[in-house]
Amino acid sequence: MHIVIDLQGAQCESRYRGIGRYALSLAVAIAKNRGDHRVTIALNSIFPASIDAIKAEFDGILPPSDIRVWRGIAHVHSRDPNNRWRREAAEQVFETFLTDLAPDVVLVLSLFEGFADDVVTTVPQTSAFSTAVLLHDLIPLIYKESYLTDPLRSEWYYRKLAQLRRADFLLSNSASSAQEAVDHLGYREARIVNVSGAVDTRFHPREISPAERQRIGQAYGITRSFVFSAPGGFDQHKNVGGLIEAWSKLPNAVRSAHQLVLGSRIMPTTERRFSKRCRKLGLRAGEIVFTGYLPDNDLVALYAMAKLCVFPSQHEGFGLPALEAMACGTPTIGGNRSAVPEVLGHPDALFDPMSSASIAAKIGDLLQDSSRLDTLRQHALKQAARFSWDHSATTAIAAMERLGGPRPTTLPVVRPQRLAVVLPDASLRSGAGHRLRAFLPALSRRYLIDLVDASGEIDPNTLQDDISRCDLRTFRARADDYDQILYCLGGGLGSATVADLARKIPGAVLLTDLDPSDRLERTPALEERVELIRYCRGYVDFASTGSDPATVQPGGPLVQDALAEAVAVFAGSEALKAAAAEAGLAGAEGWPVIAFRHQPALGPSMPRETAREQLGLSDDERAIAVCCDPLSSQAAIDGLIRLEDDAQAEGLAPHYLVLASGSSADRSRLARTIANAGGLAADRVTVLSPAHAQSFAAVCAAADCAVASGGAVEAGESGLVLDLADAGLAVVLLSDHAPAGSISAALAGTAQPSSRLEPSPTLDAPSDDRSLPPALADALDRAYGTRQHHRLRRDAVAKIAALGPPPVHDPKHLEAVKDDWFKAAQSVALSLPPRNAPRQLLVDVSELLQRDARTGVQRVTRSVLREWLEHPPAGFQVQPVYATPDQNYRYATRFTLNFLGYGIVDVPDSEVDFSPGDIFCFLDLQHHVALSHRDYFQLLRSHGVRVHYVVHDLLPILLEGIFPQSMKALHEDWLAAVAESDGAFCVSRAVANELADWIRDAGLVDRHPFHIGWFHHGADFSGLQAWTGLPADANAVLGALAERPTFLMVGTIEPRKGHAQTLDAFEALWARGIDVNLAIVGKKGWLVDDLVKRMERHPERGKRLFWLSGVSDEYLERIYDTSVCLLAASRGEGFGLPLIESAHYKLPILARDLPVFREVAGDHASFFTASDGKELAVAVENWLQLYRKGEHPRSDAMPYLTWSETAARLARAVINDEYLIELKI
Amino acid sequence: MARLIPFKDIRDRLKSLDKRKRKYLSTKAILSVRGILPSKFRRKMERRLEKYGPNTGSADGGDRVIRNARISSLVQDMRRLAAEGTD
Repeated sequence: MHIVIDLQGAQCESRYRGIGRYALSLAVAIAKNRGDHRVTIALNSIFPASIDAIKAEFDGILPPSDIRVWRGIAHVHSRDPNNRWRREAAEQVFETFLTDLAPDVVLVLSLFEGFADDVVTTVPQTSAFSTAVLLHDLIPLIYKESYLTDPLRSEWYYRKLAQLRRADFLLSNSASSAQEAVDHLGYREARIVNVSGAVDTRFHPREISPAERQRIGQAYGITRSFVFSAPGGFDQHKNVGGLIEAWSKLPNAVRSAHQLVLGSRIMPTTERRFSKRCRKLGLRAGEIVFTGYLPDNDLVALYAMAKLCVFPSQHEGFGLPALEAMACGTPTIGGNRSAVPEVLGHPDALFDPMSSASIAAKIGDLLQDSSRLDTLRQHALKQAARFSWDHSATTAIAAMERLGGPRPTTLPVVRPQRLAVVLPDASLRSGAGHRLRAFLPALSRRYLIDLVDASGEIDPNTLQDDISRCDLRTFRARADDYDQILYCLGGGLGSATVADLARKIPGAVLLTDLDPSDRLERTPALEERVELIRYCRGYVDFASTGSDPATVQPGGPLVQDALAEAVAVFAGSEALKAAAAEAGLAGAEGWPVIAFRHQPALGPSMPRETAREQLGLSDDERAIAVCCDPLSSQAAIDGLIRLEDDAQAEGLAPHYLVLASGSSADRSRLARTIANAGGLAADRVTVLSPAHAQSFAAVCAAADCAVASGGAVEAGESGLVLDLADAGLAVVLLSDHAPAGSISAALAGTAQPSSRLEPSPTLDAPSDDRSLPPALADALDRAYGTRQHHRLRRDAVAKIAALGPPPVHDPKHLEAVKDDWFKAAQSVALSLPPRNAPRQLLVDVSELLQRDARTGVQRVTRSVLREWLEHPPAGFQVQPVYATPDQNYRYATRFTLNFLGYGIVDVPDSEVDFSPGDIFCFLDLQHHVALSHRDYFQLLRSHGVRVHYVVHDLLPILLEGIFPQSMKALHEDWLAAVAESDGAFCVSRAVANELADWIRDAGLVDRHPFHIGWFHHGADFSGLQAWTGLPADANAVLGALAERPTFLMVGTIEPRKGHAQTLDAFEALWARGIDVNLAIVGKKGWLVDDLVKRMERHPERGKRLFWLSGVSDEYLERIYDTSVCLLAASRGEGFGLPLIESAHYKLPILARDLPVFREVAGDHASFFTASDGKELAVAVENWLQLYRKGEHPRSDAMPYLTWSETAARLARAVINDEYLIELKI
Repeated sequence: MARLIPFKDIRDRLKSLDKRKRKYLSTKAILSVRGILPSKFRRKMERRLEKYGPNTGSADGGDRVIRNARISSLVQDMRRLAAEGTD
């Protein structure tokens, strides 16, 4: 049995109340005790904050795939009547979502939701599954004069009651609630099962230390022994007023020795009201204590410390606080009404809650009789032990087994199923259609079949009697009338039309070829062409830079869009299935293979003389039937010319009977092209349609042999070729490897008929297995029987449309009404996502797209992005995306084509679409976009998209005073957003550890696992758009640098980079007569105005001090070559790219002793610690001495990665979620 | 001559309403004289009006509407079917 639990009650405001906690505890217990049953938890992504916490509750109990998230619609709460359209639309989507899960039972754990928030609970009027509702109580109905005075609330409540009555059976939290359903709703007793409830394990007897007693006493003003009551609210039926009145009636001695502590969250106005009442009753100050909200630990402590617990409620569905108190071993008394007696389970623990005298008498008697208190204390633990969530869960499961299961369907309508078979062209003898031919008899026994062909030229004479024809226009208009649709999608003519239809009207797809050429030929517009390739294949085909994106040819299949929503995909052969899997088509490994079975043609036969007469051939004229590639006129002509050359070499002049599929217009075009081509006698060429039965019969009878080019066979004409062989013709496959003389042998009749025919690479050998014909019908039935995904979505759309346009309550809100359509559609799209969509690696390039600041971060972004675009990770398409703070995420198509060298291409950037299994990677650093789209990222995560960030450093936070304060705050906000994601990949282990420490210190560790991984930068220039060019004074500068040992610093001039300290050090060195250069390469950053002035006015500038700003990659390379040492004096780095660039140029390194520099350079650099310029000067001098002796550490052997390796490693880590640290509560 | 509604009636009417709606209406009434309210109190009331007013911010915190190709296509279908239904 498949049980789906609607757990929205644990997501909304109720999650802070008993109902939410009850729902979650029971759901977890059902999942734990499910046995062989399958349990799925249904959550609503309108409440994203709760999803991670709930998933954590089921961690290790249910597989993550069994926690399914649907998308509701915002603004559906019932307290605003204007929300009605949205609420009804959301209900339709929710019901469809539940149906899609194919449950046997749906268990609604909190039905009475959605008045003040956007919960959508429902009990479908008709469904294939049964619905159980957990009834907590009917208090608003029983006390309607108190609770249902507001018309809106009343309307909402009665609507929910109507839904409750529709439920197939009820689970109740107590026998009392079950009886209420019978008494007040007339519900059948046999359909209600009491599953009771339990308390959390943290409620248990415990010793309270004196220190804790003191703390609690001080915190809540408790000064003496006390009676405790946690009423769970101050509603009228909670009877707190009655308890206070009863307290006032207690003897003075009792009141003087005790306090009454009321432990529940209370509004100030309510507290004032009760205080006033206390004064009126003559109670002294401090006699009654209102604690307000109690943390769980304090609540348990108060239960344990209390002398007696009182639960005065006049009506309860269950009475959870009473059970909590007893579980802590405290004597507990309560009212003798509703569910409380069954929870308390002892006659001496009961009083009449309607009588304050009765309450007072019971409290007074017990406080003065310790033996009765002891009896109740002992009873409390025994009674509490009778309640457990496991018991509740097993009772609930047993009830569902007994009363649940699929609903009996209404009387089945006995009518044949209607099947539309959509073919690319008229011929059932070629391509995908040919594959189908063998299966048609078996299909026609099971379905009423309409054959739809893209070309509209099916010859009715070729069809079985029980198969009818349908034109495209009719099919499009009446597609909903078909029970099943089967698309035959090959690579030949018409496949573009079939693919477009399969995309728009999903059905099952029999895929027989992956050749994409027809789709591109039929998509001439640049915009559509680029979009098609981008959607199906990402940018891998654009990566081999060309000048015109219109000429880009895809290197693999272009069918992903047609398959994204397919009900099922069947592979035409094992070879095709393997090729599809290799090309990364989603789910290809699981496609059933519908093996090819050749069905001999059953067309008319004809005497040879008649046929020749009809074709205008003389008796002695040789005739060759030619199967040509239907997609390429040029290939057909080339084949004919080659044939003609061979024939002339043998002294023959045969007549060519060219069989060309496609439309008559295509054949006319081919005939004209042949007539205009040189080297062919056009009067010896006749072009015919193989789909025309009479023409084909005439060709079979009249021809002396048949020739098919390899291209023709591969293009899907194999069926035609087999038919020619069946007709007794010798068929020669004309390939580059065909032996000379084969045609003349065929013409002379010396070749064995069909002996040379071999299957093409994408075609399995024909099978004679008699069991094959029903295979397709069975596979179709299976697919349509279990996967009604697309149909459900269509139904949801139709039901929402049936609500009519969203009403306009206020003309000012016209735009919002327009949004309502989109919100409803978004709800449908996210709740029922496509199942075969290509998996995307969405890469954020928001910053790079706006401006390439040529910082280290952007160097990483550019290099990794280029590698990913050129070599996408297996099974993923790399899709650069961008957003602005105000605009949604879009595919960065225009930017990416420009990035790949196509210049500015006028194509639109469409909004991002996503499906479960996609990955979003924030490669670039753009604080504002990340912060303004936090909700969007949570939406992605809720719907199965993993979100990862790349963290380059935490320097604005860690280095005080070096960055502007605003940057620190911004970076902290950004890191807080990062911590909400699935994980981060840092540019070094050092940064990974820093990030983990920061998240822990900031208290941002959450219940969802946050993974921190790391990778290292690459170090070559090959992946970059090389920036070349030298300034006019380059040679002079390089010459000066070569005159004496040059220490090089590379990086933006910022306080943290240590330029000022280094300049101090070199001034000291120069003063001591040490003749060295200091070359600083980098542009001016922030907070360095004084330093810049100092460098600009420095007496050594241009002599021994060089500051080079804005140097090209080429110039920098020359500077590296001229220097003797890289001086890395930075006080903090994420990675320190110049270190490995130095290693790349074999330049020795003198670096500050930072963990990240140690991590990158290891033993291949010298390290220094220096608090001022003098100490650094000593370090430089020491290094120079070693250098002069040749004893300095060399960087030559320092290991580093290329950008290609870096990109591959990062992709692997992101996709496989490889991490170093896991943070989780 | 216009007659003032007795305060008791107003109070009873408000009491019969949902708590959130009651807060919304009372806040709206207070803000009808916003010109004479102290600025701190006025801001507090404005926040309260926003909180309890109808159609307040959704639980998901964001009102961005996604308009990608798939969703736009569903919207087209809905509109077409709705138009057919009303023909």
